[in-house]
Amino acid sequence: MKNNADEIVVATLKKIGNEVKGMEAEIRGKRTCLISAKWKEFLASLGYIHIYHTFEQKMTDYDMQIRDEKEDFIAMKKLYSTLFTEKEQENARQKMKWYQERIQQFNFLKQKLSDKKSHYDRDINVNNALRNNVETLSRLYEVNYSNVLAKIETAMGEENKLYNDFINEEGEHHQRDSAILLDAMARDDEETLKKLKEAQQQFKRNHFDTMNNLINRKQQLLEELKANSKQKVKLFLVTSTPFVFAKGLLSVVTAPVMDFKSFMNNKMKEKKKPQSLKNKTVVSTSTSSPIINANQESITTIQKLIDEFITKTANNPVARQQCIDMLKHLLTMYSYISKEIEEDIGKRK
Amino acid sequence: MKNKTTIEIVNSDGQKQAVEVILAFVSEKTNKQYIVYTQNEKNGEDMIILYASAMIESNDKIVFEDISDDEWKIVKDKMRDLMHQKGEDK
Repeated sequence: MKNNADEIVVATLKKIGNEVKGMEAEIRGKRTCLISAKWKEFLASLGYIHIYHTFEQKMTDYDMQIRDEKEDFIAMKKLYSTLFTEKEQENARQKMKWYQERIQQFNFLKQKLSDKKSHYDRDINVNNALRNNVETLSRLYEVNYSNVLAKIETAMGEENKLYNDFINEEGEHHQRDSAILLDAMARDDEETLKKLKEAQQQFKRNHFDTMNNLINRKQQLLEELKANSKQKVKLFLVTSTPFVFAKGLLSVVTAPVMDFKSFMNNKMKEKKKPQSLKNKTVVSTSTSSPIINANQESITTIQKLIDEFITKTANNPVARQQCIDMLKHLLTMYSYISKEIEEDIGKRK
Repeated sequence: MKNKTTIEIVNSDGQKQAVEVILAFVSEKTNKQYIVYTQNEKNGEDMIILYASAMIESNDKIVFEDISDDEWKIVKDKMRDLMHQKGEDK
């Protein structure tokens, strides 16, 4: 179709190109436009090629291209040889060689850069893969947060244990260091050593004061006990069962702060009730043997209770010692009073 | 370089005049022949003036007629395409 169209145009042009006599072109209308001379020449040559390329069927596109390039090459070679001398041409060849070397270096560097870029791309891929793995793990951890929490708690427990061990160890070190420091201070600082000694003495004084107060208190109680009338004591000892007495003593031992005097007064009040007092007095004055038997029984009972005291005060050496001392006093008094009672009975006889 | 294609036309004054053919083609859209030619006239800015007409063969003569705006667009597109196409080939 296109070829036919071109043939029609060429035929028309030939008709009006004086190739067909008598054929003329009459202008009845036209449009105008402007174009540069350069482009006009260019377009004119294109139009010419365009038309005759298809008109001259003998020549293929390939032949046309070869012919054009060959003509161009010959023309350029001719132009080149006329424009430049041999020396200039040699310089141009050297320059061309230099450019080719530069191009080779450039291509080499370009390849290097390409390799490096591939390397970086691989790194980026690895990083992306790692990041994806981390994100995946994070998601799994969120889902299994309870397991993770348990692991965290276990880890925290282990950490706390390590921390406590560390603190303890640190504490030991601190104590040891403090002792060393204190020793060093005592050796190197007389004032400090003096203060330490004073503090130690003050502590001892306070301790001895406390002990003395306790001893005094105990002595006071004994004095108060002695100060009570012998009759009352006799009456109490005779009419009270050793168990009750010992039980009261046990209370004193296990509760050292208890007012022993009040305890004794209470016991006395209980035993001073008229009915029981009267009955017991009758018994005690009727014959001596029951009283002696009763005393002997009381001593035995008290000895048993002493064993009980010792057992119960096994973990309290101070109270135990106080208990023993007090019992010794009481037994001494008891022995003394019993003797008095026997003497009194003997006199009565 | 190719030889220039020159034709002889008769202008509106009845006088014969040789003009250079820039382009001639048949449009597939209109199925008409168009011609672009020049008398190598220049305007004040050293630009070449081109003329475009539709070529219509009638009896024993060829008539160059005025073209519509659409046809003018076809002609300009043809010139533009050729210049771009051949320019790229070069």
